[in-house]
Amino acid sequence: MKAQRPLTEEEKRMQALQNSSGCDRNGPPPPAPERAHAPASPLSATSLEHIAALVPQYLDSCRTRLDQATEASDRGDLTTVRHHAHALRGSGGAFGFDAISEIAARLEDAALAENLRRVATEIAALQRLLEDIRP
Amino acid sequence: MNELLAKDLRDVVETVWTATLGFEMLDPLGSMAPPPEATWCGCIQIGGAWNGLVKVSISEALARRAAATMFDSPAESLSDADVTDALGEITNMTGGSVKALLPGPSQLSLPSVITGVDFSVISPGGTLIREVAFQTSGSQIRVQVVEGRRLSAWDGIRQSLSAKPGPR
Repeated sequence: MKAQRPLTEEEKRMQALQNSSGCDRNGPPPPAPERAHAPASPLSATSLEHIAALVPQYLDSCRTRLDQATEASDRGDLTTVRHHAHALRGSGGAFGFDAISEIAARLEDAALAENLRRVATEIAALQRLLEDIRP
Repeated sequence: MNELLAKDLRDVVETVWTATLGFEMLDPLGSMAPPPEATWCGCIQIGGAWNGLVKVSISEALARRAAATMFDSPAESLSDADVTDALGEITNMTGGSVKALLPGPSQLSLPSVITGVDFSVISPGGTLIREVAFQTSGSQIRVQVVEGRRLSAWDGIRQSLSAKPGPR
């Protein structure tokens, strides 16, 4: 029988993480799950209605956040700009607004590079985009 | 910044559950065993510049509460299909946020929902890169991000060769 090599600290950590999960475990094959299926469409009409109802509220929160990023940019606080850009980038994906995420990612990069001109350009691009999708 | 930090994943989960679903503040948990009850697991794949999987695991009780909140209906009136739909949506939102924080362009797959007791969802060759867990009203939410390995043409050829029987 082949001797097993001891696990590295990293391997032990990842194994502990996997063992602690409800989804990912090593070990003997588990019993088959009771049900496993993909919804016919990513979202049903009912849940789409729910999401649609949240969109105006979400867009308002984007405008508020962008205003805060603009104020931070005006006072040269690019760390705060980056924080707001990062949050916009992530939340855009949750609601399927990939364009918000893309411009927010560019804004985040510009703030990280401390490029004030690019920061202003991307803030303006986000403002235009949010105006365009105003209901 | 194209790296998914633990803080990013915590923010994503909090945005989906508190800002969108209106749940009360979530308490972060360290790694601990899930409760011994039926688990509902939503999975969604990200493919493109970054490849991997996002998994959202919650108890049945929490899945039903989330669906009841989402559909504004009493939990007992909801069917399994409604709960599946709700978790599919939560997984879709979580995956969409994670995708936006990783290198792009990438695409999201359709979400899948798996339910059962003591089951595993294993991503062969995948590496668990982030995991966060929260507790809300006694129920757990666990979100994992698994990075997959994209096979090169040479990997494919090597696998194909190793699958063939060798000379006797």
